[in-house]
Amino acid sequence: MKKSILIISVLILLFNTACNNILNVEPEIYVSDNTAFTDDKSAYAALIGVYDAAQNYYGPNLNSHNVISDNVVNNTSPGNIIPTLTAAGSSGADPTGGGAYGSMYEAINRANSVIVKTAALSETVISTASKNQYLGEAYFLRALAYATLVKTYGGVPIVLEPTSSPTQDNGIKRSTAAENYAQILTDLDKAESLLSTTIVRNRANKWSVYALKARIYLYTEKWDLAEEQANKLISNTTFKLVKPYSTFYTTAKSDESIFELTFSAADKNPVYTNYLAALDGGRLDYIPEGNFVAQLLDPNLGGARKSLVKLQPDGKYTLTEYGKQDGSSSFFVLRLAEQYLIRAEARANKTTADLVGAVADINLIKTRSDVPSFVSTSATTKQDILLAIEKERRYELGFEGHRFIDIVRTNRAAKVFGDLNPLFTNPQRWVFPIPYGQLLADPDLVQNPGY
Amino acid sequence: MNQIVKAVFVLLLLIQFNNGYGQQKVTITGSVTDVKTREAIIGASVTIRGKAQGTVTDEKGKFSFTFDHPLPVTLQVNFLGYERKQVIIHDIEPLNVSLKEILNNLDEIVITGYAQTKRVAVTSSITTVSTEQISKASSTAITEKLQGQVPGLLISSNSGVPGTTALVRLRGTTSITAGNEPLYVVDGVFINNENVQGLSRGLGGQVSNPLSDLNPEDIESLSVLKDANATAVYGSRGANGVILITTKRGAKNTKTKINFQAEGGFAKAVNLWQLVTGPEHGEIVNAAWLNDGKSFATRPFRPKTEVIAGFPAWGNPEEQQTYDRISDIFRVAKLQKYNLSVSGGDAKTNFYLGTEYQNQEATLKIQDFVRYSFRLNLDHSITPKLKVGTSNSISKVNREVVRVGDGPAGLFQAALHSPTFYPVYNADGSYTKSGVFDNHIAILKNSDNHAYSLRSINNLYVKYNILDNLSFKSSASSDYNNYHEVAYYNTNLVYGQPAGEANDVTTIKQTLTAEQLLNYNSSFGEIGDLAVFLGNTVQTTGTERESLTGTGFPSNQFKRIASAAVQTASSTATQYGLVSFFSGANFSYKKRYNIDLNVRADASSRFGSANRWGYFPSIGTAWNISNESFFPKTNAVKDLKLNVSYGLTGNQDISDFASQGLWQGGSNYDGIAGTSPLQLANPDLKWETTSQLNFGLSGDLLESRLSFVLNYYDKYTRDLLLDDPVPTKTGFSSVTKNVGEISNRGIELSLNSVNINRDKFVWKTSLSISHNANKVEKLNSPISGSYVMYRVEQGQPLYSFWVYKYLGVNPQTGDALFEDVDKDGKITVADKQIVGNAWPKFEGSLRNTLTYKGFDLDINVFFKSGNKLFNYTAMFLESGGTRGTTRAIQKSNVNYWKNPGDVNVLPKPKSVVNADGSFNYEGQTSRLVEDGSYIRLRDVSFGYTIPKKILSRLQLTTARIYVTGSNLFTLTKYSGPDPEVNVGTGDSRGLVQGLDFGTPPQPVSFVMGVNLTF
Repeated sequence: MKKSILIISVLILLFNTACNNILNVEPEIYVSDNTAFTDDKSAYAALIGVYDAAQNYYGPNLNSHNVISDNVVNNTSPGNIIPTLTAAGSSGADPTGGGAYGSMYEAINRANSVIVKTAALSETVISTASKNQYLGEAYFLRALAYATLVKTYGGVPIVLEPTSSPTQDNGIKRSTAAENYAQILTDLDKAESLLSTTIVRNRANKWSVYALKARIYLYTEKWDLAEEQANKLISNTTFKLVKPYSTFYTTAKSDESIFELTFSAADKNPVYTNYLAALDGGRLDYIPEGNFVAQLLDPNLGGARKSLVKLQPDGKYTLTEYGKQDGSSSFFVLRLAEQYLIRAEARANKTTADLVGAVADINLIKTRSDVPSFVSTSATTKQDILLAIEKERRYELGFEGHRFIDIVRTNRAAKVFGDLNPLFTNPQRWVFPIPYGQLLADPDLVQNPGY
Repeated sequence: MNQIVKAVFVLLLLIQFNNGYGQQKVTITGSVTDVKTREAIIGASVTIRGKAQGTVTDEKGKFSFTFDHPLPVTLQVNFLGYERKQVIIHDIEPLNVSLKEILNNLDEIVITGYAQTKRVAVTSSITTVSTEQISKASSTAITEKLQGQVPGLLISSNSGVPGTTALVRLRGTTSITAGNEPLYVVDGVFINNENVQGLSRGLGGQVSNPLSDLNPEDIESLSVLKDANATAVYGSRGANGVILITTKRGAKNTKTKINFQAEGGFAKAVNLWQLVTGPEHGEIVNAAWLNDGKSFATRPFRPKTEVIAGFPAWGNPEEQQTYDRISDIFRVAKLQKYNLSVSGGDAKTNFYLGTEYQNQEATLKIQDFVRYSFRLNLDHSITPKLKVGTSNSISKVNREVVRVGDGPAGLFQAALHSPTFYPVYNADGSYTKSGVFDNHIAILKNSDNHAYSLRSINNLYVKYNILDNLSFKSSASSDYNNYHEVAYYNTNLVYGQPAGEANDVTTIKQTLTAEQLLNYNSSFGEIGDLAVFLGNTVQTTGTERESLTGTGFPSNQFKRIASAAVQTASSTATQYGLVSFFSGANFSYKKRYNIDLNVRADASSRFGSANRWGYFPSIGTAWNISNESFFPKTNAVKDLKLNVSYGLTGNQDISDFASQGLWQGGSNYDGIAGTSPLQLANPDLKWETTSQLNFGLSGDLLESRLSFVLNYYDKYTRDLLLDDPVPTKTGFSSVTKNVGEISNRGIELSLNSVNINRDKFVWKTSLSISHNANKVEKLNSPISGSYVMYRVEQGQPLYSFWVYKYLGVNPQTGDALFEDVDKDGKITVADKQIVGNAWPKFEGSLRNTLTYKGFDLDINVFFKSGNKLFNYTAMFLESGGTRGTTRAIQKSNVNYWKNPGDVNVLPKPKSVVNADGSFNYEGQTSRLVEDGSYIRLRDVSFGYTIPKKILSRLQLTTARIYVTGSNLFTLTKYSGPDPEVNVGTGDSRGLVQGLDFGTPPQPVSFVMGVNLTF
């Protein structure tokens, strides 16, 4: 009897220890947020995580901008060229997919973590050179995410601190677009001061900062500054307009590339499935719009850019730009051709207009695609040149998410899109609605008027 | 925790061993027979009342029993399904005891989790189902067979494919984003019921049912524990109810019994979709094109000679051919099943050995389900006090699967959604692919997708009777699940572009449980009975997964990843642990007043250390009114019992590390490993708690020919474990928090009547019916499922449809009319409203069993009323030409508005926006929310038992041949093929129910079988 009690007591003691082992389980594939960010190596891994987030939001946002424009249509309703945006539902209900609002803030939170936590690391665990590089890249990537947000929805909430509690950002309301642009330029200035001039075409460096600055100045109509930034890239002969036109998307990190997000078979760019037919392994969600296809095929308009589309056995044309079936197509975020067209537009618009320079820039782009040059006559006005730039941007950058914002920022949407969908005569429709689910989750968010 | 350990320790100290025995030895012999049939009863137990000593009758119904207790003694003779008989023995002489079969068993033993109680003393709401009471249809999992048989247990198959999941909800849904599945316990083993599929390409919402790893033929009975008093001893996992499954065991001292069952039959899907002809398709699409204001010159269906770049020409509508694809993918499915079992026992050992082979084809081609299972249950008494035993099942399920819906590579999309005018083959004989979908023949000929499940459920116990009325049982259990998926997509398939892809995924899930249990029973004679138990379990569950992918194969002859150019791999692991202590007491006073007290303390590794422990108490009381002296002794009301119970149960079914702030790896870029934040910490995370009040009234009326059980319950769940949406500007979309409240209130009735009970003819009827009202009582902000027409909103039930209310067609313009809720003249998101939900108002079954001489007939009708379905298939296929040449069109769509004055028509084909901002063929509309009520002749079984006279010559004990027909007819207003469907299982949060989208319907099936016992 006493013996059995002794045995039982020993068993209970063993049992108590066993219980603690069973209840104190540590995750095997995750780490605690307290230990995730401690040294050079972990800071670098977190920076890579920001690029990963950029990969994630870039495709869905690109698709939204393509579909809302007159360049791309939903395969199911090719006749509905400029679809009507609706805020209803999170995704699926909106014909464009909604613009990837949440994914962009995921990138911003990751960048915020790198910016705040890397800065806090002591010099014993990270060298100044590493610190500057990581911070510079993170500032650039945060600027890119905000730039993509503001071009999609107008002014959005500005969050600059990494999130540690779900209520931390309560009270942060939408900023104006101007405030967003100011923040983007602040980040780009910091990035410029921290980054090196070494060209790595799929990572942020001084050149990618200049190129994004040129675009931001163009959008905010700072013509001289836009030209100045574009000049920096155009005058660097390491950046070239590649020939034939298709080279920039058939080759990763081509000579034309300033900044692209690269992918591989192990880290796939899923967008190929959106644009390829079942025959080629896709689901063909989106196709180039019929009238636009006709223009691309026209040797006087599209020229070599006809390579962007491919004829299917059933008579449809599909897009080839993101069509690598192993998922290794890049997103071409910044490339030299855009810089020429930015400079052309800046030259034409600046106080002392340089129309000759503008036409020269347009013609460099046209010549590259074997299209007849734009010939200026005495009757050629600044308006004619701006329209020529608009057209050239459409052919040259047709599937890279520029068309919608180009027509909106030049105040041409009422005409160009309004003709196709009367709702667009109302300027309130010139931005995307904030997806409805986001409004429910965030009481600080106010819907864009008109939705 | 430490206090509980101390308490256990003290209790063990208090236990005193008692070894007093009398000296005189007495031997009693006798036999036990059925009072009516005069046949021997085999396996009846004969014991001395109040003592553990006893024996069982042999194959001739005889027993011989030696004991050392002075006469007189009271012998107690017991046999399941018969009234217990007590005989006082004064002399040693042969005894003949005849037992009377009970029509409604009050003394029947009810398993209440950790204790066994007589039905008369039960205070909880528990439904026990024997295998005779379940559906006769040939189902792969036990859950499907329970449909409609247990009031309050809602079961609805998600698809007509054998071995796939069913929706199972006991007394409603208590949680939004945490788990809602009942806890399944097989012979004391907690078994996994979670999806173990890991194939990256998925099966389009089709989920393999982990419960179909168990052979239903091995099951003896099931107990469904419903109220808090019954489930509180399962504490943190009791809130969704508990289903206890008891498998067959041999009886001691019986002749070895060999049972063989063979069954074969076929199944066919009926009432499939009707699509338009090719010319009709062309005509509708052209109409939409012109109504959109597009030019006549570019209309899609125009002569092929009118070439315009960017605008394909398909030829004039009348030139179009019509190709039927749907009948290509269905077949008459064959099914066969063989069960062989051997059971028996001697004085010390009893055993059950069962083995099975089953092969069921799905009516949808390609898919099939093959199960091999083996079971061994064995109990052995080492000494009269010490007993050991084991329950084991091993099964292998081989499935051939195919992606069904949801996604261009799905067989349903390929066959049902491809436009009918589109040819199947090109002129050169190659497969035509309509741009979006795979070719259905290509899938049928090239699909190579298999899943292999290996499941082993094992339990080992030692039971020691410390005293006659005090026992200690220690058991160890394991549930091991190995799910291996192999898929190969060759270049003829979409997923195989450009050079083939293979996936190989293995998921291993194992639960280990150790359990210690003390049981004490004491009888105070006529005054009453006391039963007490105290126990502890320690459980740990681990899941591991390895996924391999290979792309780029040299040719279609190479199928395994070893031959692929690019080979990638990943592996993950997670685990959690649970430590529990529980105790309960049941006291029954003079068979009139009964009280039950139960409590469980659970600690889970899923919660932060501050909130690790949860306590779940319950109380139950029952009053046997008919045993009161004032109650008239009448046969009209033979038994009447009122019971009330209240208690708390919990839910911890969330991800293993939900309370921690975590970063993840795998956020890679450019071949460099990256990390990123995964989730925010919530150290305050704790149990979701459900309180439940239950009122029950049960009784036997009209000489026990009619019995009823009526229950009302009120369940209220607080501190919901919710993936609460957070502002996405934080970089996160949700955080797991304890917010929100849900209620479920319902009423359940079951009636059993013996209409006719003569020697040769017996007719029994049973009716079960239940109603549940679910309501989200409190929620911070509405939540949408992954399908936008679903919404969880405060004040509404779960599974509510949130859509634009369709008011029909404007007869003048042909445009669709929607209710403008905010009266602003525009149809915007503010006009979406909840128009119904997927909950039935009531559901149940009506069953009639007739036996005449050797013939038996069993008719089981299932009914469900008031539930809504969202016809997602019609959203795509009844879309008025707005989906152009990419999707098929349903035949119903030819009836669209053509001229002013047209009524009872679908809207004018048009894809552009209306003046009020609406769309004619809006997808999120109440037009697609349909009544899913139905009445179904679930199964009819007709059998003949061959008379014993003939059998004895064949060395057979019993022989029965039978034929069963299932789903013979269904009455419903639903426009799709089958109202019993749901593909919402693809939604990880389970917010989607009642969604019909590319789902194989429940087939009509016939099986013939024979059941022989040697």
